[in-house]
Amino acid sequence: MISNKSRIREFLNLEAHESHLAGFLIAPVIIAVFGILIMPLLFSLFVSFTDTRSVLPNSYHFVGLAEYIKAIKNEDFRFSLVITVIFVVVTNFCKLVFGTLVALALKERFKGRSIARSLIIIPWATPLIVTGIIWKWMFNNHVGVINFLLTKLGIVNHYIDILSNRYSALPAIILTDMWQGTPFFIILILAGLQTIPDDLYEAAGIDGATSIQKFFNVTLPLVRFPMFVAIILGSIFSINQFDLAFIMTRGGPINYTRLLTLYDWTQAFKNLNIAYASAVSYLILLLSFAIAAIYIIFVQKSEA
Amino acid sequence: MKKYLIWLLVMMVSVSIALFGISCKGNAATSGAETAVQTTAAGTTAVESEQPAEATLETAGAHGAEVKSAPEVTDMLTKVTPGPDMQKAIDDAKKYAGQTIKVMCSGDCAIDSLEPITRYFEKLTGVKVELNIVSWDVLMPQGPIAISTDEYSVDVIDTWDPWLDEYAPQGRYVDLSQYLSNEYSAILPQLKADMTIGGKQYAFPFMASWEIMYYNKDLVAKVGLDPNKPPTTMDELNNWIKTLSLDTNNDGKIDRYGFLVDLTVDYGAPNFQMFYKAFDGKPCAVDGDNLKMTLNTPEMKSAMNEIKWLVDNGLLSSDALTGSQWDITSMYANEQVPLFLVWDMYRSYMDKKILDKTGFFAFPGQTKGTYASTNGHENFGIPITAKNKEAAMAYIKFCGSKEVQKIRTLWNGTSPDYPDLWKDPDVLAKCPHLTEIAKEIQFETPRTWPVNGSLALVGEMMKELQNAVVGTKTIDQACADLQKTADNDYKIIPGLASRYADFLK
Repeated sequence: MISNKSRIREFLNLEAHESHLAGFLIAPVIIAVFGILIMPLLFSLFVSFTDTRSVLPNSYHFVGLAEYIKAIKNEDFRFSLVITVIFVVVTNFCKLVFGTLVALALKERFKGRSIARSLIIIPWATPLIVTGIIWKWMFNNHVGVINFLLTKLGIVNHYIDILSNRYSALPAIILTDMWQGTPFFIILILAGLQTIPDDLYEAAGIDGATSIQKFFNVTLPLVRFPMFVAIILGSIFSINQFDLAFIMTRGGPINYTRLLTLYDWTQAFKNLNIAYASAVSYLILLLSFAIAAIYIIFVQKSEA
Repeated sequence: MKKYLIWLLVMMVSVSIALFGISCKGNAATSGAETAVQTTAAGTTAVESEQPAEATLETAGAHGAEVKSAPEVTDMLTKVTPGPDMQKAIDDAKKYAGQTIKVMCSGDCAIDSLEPITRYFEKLTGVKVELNIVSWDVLMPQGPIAISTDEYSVDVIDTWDPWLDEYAPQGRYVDLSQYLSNEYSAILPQLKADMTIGGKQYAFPFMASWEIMYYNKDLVAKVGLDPNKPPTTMDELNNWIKTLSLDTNNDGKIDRYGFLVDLTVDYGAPNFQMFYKAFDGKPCAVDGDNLKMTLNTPEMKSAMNEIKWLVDNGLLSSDALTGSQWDITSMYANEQVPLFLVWDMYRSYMDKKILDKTGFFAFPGQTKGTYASTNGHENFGIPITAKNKEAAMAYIKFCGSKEVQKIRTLWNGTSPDYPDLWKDPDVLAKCPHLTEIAKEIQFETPRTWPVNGSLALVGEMMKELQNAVVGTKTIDQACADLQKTADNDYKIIPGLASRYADFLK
């Protein structure tokens, strides 16, 4: 019979049991991840099933899905959801179109290509808070350069309110997000484009294909995967977009630029509706999961 | 196709560079100044940028007639002979030498004088102070957590009315009345009332502050108005705004707005309440021993109508709906707006050049002799969980002593707490706005309301105001919806009737 002491000694014989060694080495990371990520997530999940709006201990009741139902029934939440969906769809569609065009241009050989490739990264590398402040003043209706250009070009005859008009505020934020996020699409699509062998284009040329036919029949099917990755990741980034709306309009006018994240922030950190905000956070998470699920299914199908 | 793609790329890069070039050139002053205001207002440097030469706000220490550096506050402090209360605060604190107290406050509270005052306190007493200056966006969630948690978090917290309403009755604040001698009780009665619930004082002001109108005397004179005769009624104010609004390029549309104010959902409520008060509105009414919200009233409709009229006629920039008070202060400081409404403490963010040409006037009511006022005092309270309450109290008393108050006022022009300092010739020379504030304060209206979630409800008010202004709802509908929201979604906090009855007189 093996004594407990021997069992422990054998268990601690790390060199003989690689899996034990591996477990031992990654344990601190697992503990850290659990402590700083999983625990708060679980805690906020728990809070979302209560009715607390303050953070006083023992000042809550368990209410099940009431806060979730309240959110779904809430007009402001639904409005923010619609605004967020519009934002995600439009910004990613535009990024995809511009990203593809610019990636195609950057694939070609021309003088200064490497400089152009470097410059194109700059908007993406610029911190969002800086981007937001710069564009806020560019859109300003007193001194903004956008108004200056629009007036000089004769497109409008006087300076217009861009960020405080309910019809133009969201497009302005979408444009800013496009400017900031398109380079990410460019990089991914360009990487895909560079994997396409020139032989395919030469063969298509011999068959008499035009440039447009080559794009739709050769390029597009082969960059489909990086494009899809860009859209999925871009959509998740967009759902989580907070900074631009916060800096440029703080969600106004009324709620016309109040993305879900900003709505959630207001509920949590300004109105101190902690339980409600936790429920909204999980609804946002569900939205991101739904997109991620599409991505996973696509990847599995592609591999199959 | 290759050719077109490369042209597209070249055009995109060129347009980006051109936009940035023009933007940097055209907006350097504005952009830099806005960063400066946010930096100082927040108390923490969120974004660092170089201050352009043209900018009229400074990142720190811009105080009107005498621009000094922060070490000079220490210099002024060293020359002070402490009165009995200040000396007692120092002696009390000395008993805790070597111990540490934690202080959390907003940048607005600190501006730039609290740091040297705190360091001088440390030097005199040996008490170590961890001064944590945060932005409002950080203080707003962290403050209630610090107050309501059972864990120790801070010893002194920058505290304001809605937190007192909500947490003081729950016993989360230390009652300071027991520690305050008569001299400390001699602060302005409005300040004391603001911090007192059921006869107990739960906070002490480091700095008093009210909303006030700022105007650029040069720009006012340029349109033919007399800068020495500011408006005294709402009609006169509207006439000023009309006259100050200009069509500078003769295209038939006003492009230099006469007036600007922050009416955002997040921060605009105190400003809009000035309009509500100016039309004799009261946000709540005493109903026996209880209170009820009164938001669907003819006065509320008049106040909303006034804002809508200003926007519809191009007299108030619609920037008001999305531009924060920091943006607007920047625009005023860069002389893009001649007239604006903001906290009096914001004058301390402006430099000599702009302050020299700034006049102040009390926000007028409908009839001569009536005014509107909203308070924005920066108060120190002690959470019940504070570890070192006595040392914290000594710190509050030191900062709130008359001698320190006077130095702070002379340093950055913010309002003192004590009525006799309002008559002090040195203070009056530095703070000409005090005479105008004196007219306002008897008409003070509470900044927030006696409900759980007061900030959310004032945000609802601003949302409905914006609905009315942009036309997504009629004014009647906006007011009715606001009242419905207040009645259905917000609970009146019991036991505050007598406190609000004082405000509502």
